[in-house]
Amino acid sequence: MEEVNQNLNIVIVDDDPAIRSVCSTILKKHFTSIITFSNGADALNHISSNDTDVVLVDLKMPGISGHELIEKIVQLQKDIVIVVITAYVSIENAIEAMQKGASDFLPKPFTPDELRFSIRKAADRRELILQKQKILKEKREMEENYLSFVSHQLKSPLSAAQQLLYLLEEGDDGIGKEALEIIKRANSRITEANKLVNEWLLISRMEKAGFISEFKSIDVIPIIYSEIEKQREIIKNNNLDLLIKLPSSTTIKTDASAFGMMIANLLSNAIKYNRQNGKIYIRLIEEKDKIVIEVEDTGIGIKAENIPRLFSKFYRVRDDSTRGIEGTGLGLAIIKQIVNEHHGEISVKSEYGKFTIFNIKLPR
Amino acid sequence: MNTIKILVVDDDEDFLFTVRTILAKKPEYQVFEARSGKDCLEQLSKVEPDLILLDVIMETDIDGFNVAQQIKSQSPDSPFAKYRDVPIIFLTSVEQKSRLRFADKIGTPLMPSDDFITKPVIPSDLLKRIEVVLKKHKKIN
Repeated sequence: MEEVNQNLNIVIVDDDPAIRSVCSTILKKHFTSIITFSNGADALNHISSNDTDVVLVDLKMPGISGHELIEKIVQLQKDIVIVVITAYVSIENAIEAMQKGASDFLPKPFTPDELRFSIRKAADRRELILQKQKILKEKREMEENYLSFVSHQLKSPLSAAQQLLYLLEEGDDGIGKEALEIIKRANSRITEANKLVNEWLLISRMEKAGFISEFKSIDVIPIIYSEIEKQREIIKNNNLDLLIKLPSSTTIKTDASAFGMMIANLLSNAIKYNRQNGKIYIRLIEEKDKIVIEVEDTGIGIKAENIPRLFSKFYRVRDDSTRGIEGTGLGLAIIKQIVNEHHGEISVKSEYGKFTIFNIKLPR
Repeated sequence: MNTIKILVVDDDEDFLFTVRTILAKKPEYQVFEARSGKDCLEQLSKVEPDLILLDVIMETDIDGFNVAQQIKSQSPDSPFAKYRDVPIIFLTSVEQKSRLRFADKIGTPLMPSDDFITKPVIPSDLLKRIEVVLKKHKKIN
């Protein structure tokens, strides 16, 4: 009993009506969807807007040649399996067609069995491609679901615990000063854990999909000022002196939210790792093909031996100088990722106990 | 004193406890609790709430997004047409920066009196937000 494959959409392109008719007749017994075309242009038109699994292409045709047609089908990126048929049995032709993306070669004249065998092979190949696509898609979805699931599972209890502490903090039950201090400390640690989960989720997504989907020409100066404004109060509370040297406008190809996040993290580091009455410098220098952003602090500095690991995820310098400074160890990893997506560079210069300068170069 | 009926929808027992405790400070608020999206939809006709506090992510039958879509459905044969104008305060675990983008996320436009608040909520903040939403709603309707 002959098995009829309902799902395979086959397109036959040949300028010779006899070949078209013979091929359809042979294949019709096994496949239900067969469409023939006498030239490449019509075939391409059909393929670009219809589901197509396998294309049988004659190499020598008037108008668009078989080679050109193969190139154009590959450009559609539909993973269509292409089988070449031609009377010109030359190895060069075969190799050229395969290099352009054909997966098999059938010399004319061929027997019905040879044609059937070749199409079966093509069908198997197509099936494998489709399965691979499906598995990859499922894998991506699973990874994304896993991230959301884990972060939600981690955040829910944290959020609930913090919620209960808030309740206690604002209760009218006359809580003592000492108890309030304990609640405050517990709250601050939960906030830290929450932030860690959020940043982990952010960077996990960024690493996979990238953070910037579209680069646009944007004036970045207003973004920098807006990020400064958001941290103005904490700068004042820490008695820090902020010295800004920016041009009035600078346009680069970037993404406003990613660029803002990069500045926010740089600034937040310069505040956190500074000292009382210290200074923060923010500079932007325009060069011919790039901009250079520098954020400098007069803070605790970084020992030379700690610099190589500075941009690693979750890495934090732990010594007397950083004790009591909260952080997730992800800020610099996020900055680095954003810089990388710009094809930019980041470097750090520091002297322990004196200063740290982050220098970022982004192409214009 | 007019009683204001508030339906709180959350699958987290501790959060329900928290809201119950916070709202107990206001004697005019009468609190009803639903532990899932389905539970919320079922209770609507019994409670006839003046305000809904709705958690968006619930690991139960249906989540808050779905509940909101059903309540706010403009379809003429929606079984919840009566509750279309009940203001909703959405409870989210991630800070939402834009009202429009949030509406996009829940898949239904927000009414002017709708609001959203990030968990964990600060008790005094929650009370304030509820007051504002109720005032706005009264003005509009």
